Amino acid sequence: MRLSPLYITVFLLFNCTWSKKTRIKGVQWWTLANTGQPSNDVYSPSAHLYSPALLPLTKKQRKLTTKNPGTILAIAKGAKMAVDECQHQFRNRRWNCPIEENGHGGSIFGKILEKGCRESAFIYALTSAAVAHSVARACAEGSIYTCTCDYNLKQPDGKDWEWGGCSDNAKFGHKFSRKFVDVIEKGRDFRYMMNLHNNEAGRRHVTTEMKQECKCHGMSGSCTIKTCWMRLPLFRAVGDLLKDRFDGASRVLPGNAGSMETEGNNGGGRRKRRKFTLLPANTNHKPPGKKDLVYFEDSPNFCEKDTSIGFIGTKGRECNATSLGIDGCDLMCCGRGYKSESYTVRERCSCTFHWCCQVKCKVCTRTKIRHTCL
Amino acid sequence: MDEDMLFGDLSDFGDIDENLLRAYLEGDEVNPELEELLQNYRHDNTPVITRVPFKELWENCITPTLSQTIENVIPLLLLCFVFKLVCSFSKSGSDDNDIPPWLIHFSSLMFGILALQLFFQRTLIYLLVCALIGYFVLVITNWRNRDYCGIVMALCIVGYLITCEFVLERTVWHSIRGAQIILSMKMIGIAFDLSNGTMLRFPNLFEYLGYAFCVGTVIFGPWISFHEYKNILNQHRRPLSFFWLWKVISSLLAAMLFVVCSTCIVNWLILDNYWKWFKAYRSAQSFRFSHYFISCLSQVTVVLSGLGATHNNDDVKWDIHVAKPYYIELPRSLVEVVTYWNLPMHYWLKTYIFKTTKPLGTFAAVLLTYVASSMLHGLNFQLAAVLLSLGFYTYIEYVFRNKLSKIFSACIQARSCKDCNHEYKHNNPYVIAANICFGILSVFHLAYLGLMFDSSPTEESGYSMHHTLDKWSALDFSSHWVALGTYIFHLLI
Repeated sequence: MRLSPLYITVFLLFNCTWSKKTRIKGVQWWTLANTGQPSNDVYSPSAHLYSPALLPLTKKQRKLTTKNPGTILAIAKGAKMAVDECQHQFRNRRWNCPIEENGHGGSIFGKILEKGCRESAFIYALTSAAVAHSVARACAEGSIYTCTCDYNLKQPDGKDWEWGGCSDNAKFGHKFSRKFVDVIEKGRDFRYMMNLHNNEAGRRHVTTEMKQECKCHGMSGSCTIKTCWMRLPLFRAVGDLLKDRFDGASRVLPGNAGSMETEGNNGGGRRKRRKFTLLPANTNHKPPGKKDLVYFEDSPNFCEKDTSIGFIGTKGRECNATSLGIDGCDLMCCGRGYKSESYTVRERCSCTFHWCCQVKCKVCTRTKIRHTCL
Repeated sequence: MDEDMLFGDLSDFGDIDENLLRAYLEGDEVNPELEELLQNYRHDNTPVITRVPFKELWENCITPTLSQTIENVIPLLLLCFVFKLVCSFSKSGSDDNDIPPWLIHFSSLMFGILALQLFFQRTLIYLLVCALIGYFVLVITNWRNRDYCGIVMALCIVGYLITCEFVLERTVWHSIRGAQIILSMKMIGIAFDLSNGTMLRFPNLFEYLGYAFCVGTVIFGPWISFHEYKNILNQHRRPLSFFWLWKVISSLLAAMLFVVCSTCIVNWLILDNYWKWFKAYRSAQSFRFSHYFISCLSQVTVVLSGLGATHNNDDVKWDIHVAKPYYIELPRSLVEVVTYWNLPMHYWLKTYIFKTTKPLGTFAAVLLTYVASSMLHGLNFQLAAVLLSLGFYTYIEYVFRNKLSKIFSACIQARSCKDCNHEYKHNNPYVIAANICFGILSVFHLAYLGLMFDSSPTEESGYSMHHTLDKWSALDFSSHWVALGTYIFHLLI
């Protein structure tokens, strides 16, 4: 049976009203990124970092964080990391990942998330990756009590020098992020599939970049002692990878091939496997991989102020007059032109090294030119 | 907790309302081809190579490496120390009613077996069997004809090694190989000592096994002579002193430093996207540092158990050196590298192999020494290739530099010359420059030779011939060509 267009319309309408509320409530944890900044706001999360009941979390999230003491700081750190990384990756683009400072009641990334566009795909992937990364890191540092980090684990069959270190950190981070982040995606529309996919894609970049490395030590290259360690990727590396995926994100449509598969009766209970299918909008393209970002709406051009996505436009943005890329004035200002002004800076110059050990500099005044979009 | 969590497919989300999803997706026929296509999600990794900050290196590499190393070495060190205490009790005075020597040798054996059990578990049986076979051979040859004792023992050991190579599982064999080398050296050493008359009294079973499994040398070495081993009965002459403690602690700290350098720092300094020769140097250096780590650790164990000292009247000097990293990292020549790589082993090879084969001619003796050395390491193509290459390289280097030093009358031989009558001494700028150039050439050869000990996944079971040749051909066998070129040049001048 194919879904009739009418049914889809009704379905989506129903969803828009239903899911907006939950999503906006659900992603409030992002405001944890603001912890540590001085604020008089009574709703500021820093005030009640240690009283989970007041945190901007859903009931399930709250339960999860109380069950795993120590995670809330890691989440806050992760949220901050995600915001910083997002702004770093998009510093030269029209949409530069603006943050709504007084975002209580909504998401700090603003209304862009109400669109199923590339930018929101990136935000979802990045935040979920950040939680996984930050929780894994906190695990390794030993600040989360529930993730066991057993350095003594040995193989039961007597083969010693097996890796017994903190290999569980990444797993714990991944799992925690999945429980913590995905729990809010309770919608019934296509968008939640997209969000789930993007969340997972983000986390996957963290775990697949994580590598175990071992080395043998012994007489003449034999293997008497073996030491191993895990390497968590830099979050910048994850951000870079996700940015690549952002550029190559696939536009998808709800799949028409997915279905429930029923696996054989094993042990009485029927296990149902759910299948997601996100089909590429362009049938010549490959279906999106597990690490690819997906979106289903075109991004706005981000030129003018757009209240529906809460973006102020590129007016007043600095641009590079000589660049032909997206940070160049032509593209950044969407052809509206730009104004140039010169300004003076005082900086240290002609520094010399004096033995030993001083560096002496002069202070020079230089004139620089700044271009801003009209 | 399900293990599928990390890489399971998207379908195992816990919190999806199945009914809603079904309502949403229901009614479409399954397209098997499409299903398959969807299963094959792309797995691509674009490697991004950056240097991680030191703090991260500390957390993720240095700390686990150190903790794992310390945790696994501490029991061995305790055993060594307790063994020394036990030995000290034996002859605290010159009383006649002290502990009989056989009991000391027996406790040496027991401590050694305990240490082996810690590291190899049941695999230690192969070492025990080898030692017992060796004793049997000693008794037989001693009874029939003492002169052939050494040769027969050497042949038996080689036979045993080859058998193990084929019978044992590769990973298992690879893990005990280090201990087996030390054991073989001890056994062959005793046998040659007996056959050339250095050792007159035939060792009894307790002495023999105590020596073979002496706790201070059984895991990491170094090789010590039977004569030195007998000092366990004279521990009252080697009391616990500051210098003893200093030797232990300094060696231990050096060992820790080397293991951290080998596993973490070297790979951190030279990244994967560097020039291939830098990467070769990195692999080789990591291997060398790993070797220094083992050498220092062996120094710790041997000194801690009260061996490896020299007596100067009543003075005890804890002066054992297994490797001298300084002479290897900044080499004068490959000859020196080979010497300082493992001083006890060098001494062993010189005493038992080189001197025995000397009547066949120097070149043959050098070659046979390297052959013996690679036989000791088992039938490993990689090690054999490296050692034989080293054999030829050192020979070529030796004769070439000898000839040059004669022509220019300068101190540019492979070994630094003491009171030679060359016109240009070692402090002449040209001589210094020439020696530095030869040193750089040695570094180049070392990078090339050590490159394939690169901790690749096959490390645990030993490297294959394929791996070796792959690595060398990636560098176009350049070092071999250079060595050949040097030799031809040597023949021409």
